[in-house]
Amino acid sequence: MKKIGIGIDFGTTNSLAAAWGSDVIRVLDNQGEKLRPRVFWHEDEISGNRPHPSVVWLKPDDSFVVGYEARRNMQALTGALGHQFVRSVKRSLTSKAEWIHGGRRLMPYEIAAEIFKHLKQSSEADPMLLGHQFDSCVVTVPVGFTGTQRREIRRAMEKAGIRLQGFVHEPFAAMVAHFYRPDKKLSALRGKRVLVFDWGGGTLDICLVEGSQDGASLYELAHDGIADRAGDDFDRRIMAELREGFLSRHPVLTNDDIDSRCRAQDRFWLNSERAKIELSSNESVHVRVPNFLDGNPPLDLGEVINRTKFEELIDQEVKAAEACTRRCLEKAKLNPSAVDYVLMVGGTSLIPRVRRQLEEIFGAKVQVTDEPDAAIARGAAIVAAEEWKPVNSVTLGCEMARGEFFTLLKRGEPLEASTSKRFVFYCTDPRDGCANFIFARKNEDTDGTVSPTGEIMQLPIATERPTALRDIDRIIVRSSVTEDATLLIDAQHTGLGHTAQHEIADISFGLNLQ
Amino acid sequence: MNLKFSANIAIKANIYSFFEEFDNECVPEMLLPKIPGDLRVNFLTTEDSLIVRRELSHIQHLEYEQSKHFQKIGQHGIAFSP
Repeated sequence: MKKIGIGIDFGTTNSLAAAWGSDVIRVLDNQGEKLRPRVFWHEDEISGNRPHPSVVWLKPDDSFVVGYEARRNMQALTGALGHQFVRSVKRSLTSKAEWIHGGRRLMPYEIAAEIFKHLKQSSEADPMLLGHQFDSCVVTVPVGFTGTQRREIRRAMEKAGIRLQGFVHEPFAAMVAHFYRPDKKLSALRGKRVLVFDWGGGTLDICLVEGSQDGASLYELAHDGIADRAGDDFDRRIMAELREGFLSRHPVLTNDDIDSRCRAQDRFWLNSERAKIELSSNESVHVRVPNFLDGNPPLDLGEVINRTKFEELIDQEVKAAEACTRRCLEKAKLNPSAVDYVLMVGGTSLIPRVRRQLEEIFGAKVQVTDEPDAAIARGAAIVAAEEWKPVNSVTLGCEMARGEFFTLLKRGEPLEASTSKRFVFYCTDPRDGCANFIFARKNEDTDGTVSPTGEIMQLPIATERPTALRDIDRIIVRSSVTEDATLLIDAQHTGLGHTAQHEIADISFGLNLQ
Repeated sequence: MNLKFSANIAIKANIYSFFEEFDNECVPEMLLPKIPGDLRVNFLTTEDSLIVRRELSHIQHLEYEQSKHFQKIGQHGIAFSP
């Protein structure tokens, strides 16, 4: 184990860093018998320990403010001259969005870099990290992230002065945090199947994981997710409901009046989010926003929202999440009874209606992880300290003539930048005018079925019909894993010199626990 | 009118590799059984049915026989061989 390992949960709505290692055990949070990684929270006077909002405030004096302070000022100053606020930059990492700040054009990765810098600075201020350098860490990524998105995260970290130790999928990290014990490591997962249901502010990630019988690795069996229905949308539903209630009390007012006269949007949003959190433990919540609307006298908002109403508002999303869970099981060709544990992670998992929906499918196997907000960061810190490496979960290769399969990346191979492997391919039928590389996955777990990934690489070749072996097109293929955990395939025709390149980004992650 | 369309195109894998690498630039003879039957006959100097039957594998022979039912490139008509 490393002396100290640091993990970052870079979230759409909130981000968090945590640390774990042999050198720091004596000062870790101690809950009874259980030693857990240290989480570097934002300490909020009202709400207590909270994760750092992933909001970046570009101020007119060319400086950056990140986290709680940025979020607190966001609603009040949005649109004010010279002030720009960027939230949920994780969603636009690969977009062409840009911001002019300090006379420079800023790309999304540069905004993300500010969030990483903020996490680094706030962690280094913690006494636990005294004498330790926060210069490298493990970062969590959603299951559905592409290689390009992972590359942007790596660029952001480089800009923030942090070396990327490795990526780990968010559900994996949460699972590690939940099942890890300092003495027994992850022995509880030996031969077990776990469905991780990670529903946070921005995305829903569902991942079905299996622990190998020898306890040496964890493999992903299937994953699914929804990118655009999560906790932030629930906040907006509550805000719309509260506005409606407010307007029904003040029939002379319209929505336009609220838009133009409301000077308390930030508090309205914060209180709506707080109401959502409180509705997980209370039957009803009274939301009060003093001086909600400008006027003489100013008007206050005071509405009650109850859990039944809230559950009605989010009904469609919960049903979509259920369908997503069933799809994930179908992909792995498993029944709910074949799953040993169901682990709920992320703030949205605390909503009782969500839990009930999962219990309808899995019964009593459903567990909610402690502190769902911090589980992913804790897991990433454990992975960093234990130096567990990501590995490929599903064998990748390409289809060949006569229905055969050629392996390019085996299950269990490390997903780290590697030297390239060289293969020689021959084109058995030139009549298409190109050699068709149809990429596919091979399911080694069950029946060895081969299913195409839907990706194809075509290399132009000579179209004459061969009349002897020497006429057959010969192609040199090089495949390598990139530092963004993608598989890069380069092909070159030995006679004509034509080249083609393809990158497989959708790779199933596993973890090597040795 | 309820029109239903279905795809009438397909891309087939037309590559082959051996797990061991052959060091020189020669294409190994082991590749011959992987070639479609109607192309494989081009490697023979004759279309004598006895020789064709002897040299081609069962599946290649079937492919060769079936290919005779398709028009070749350049022949009259718009369809060409698979």
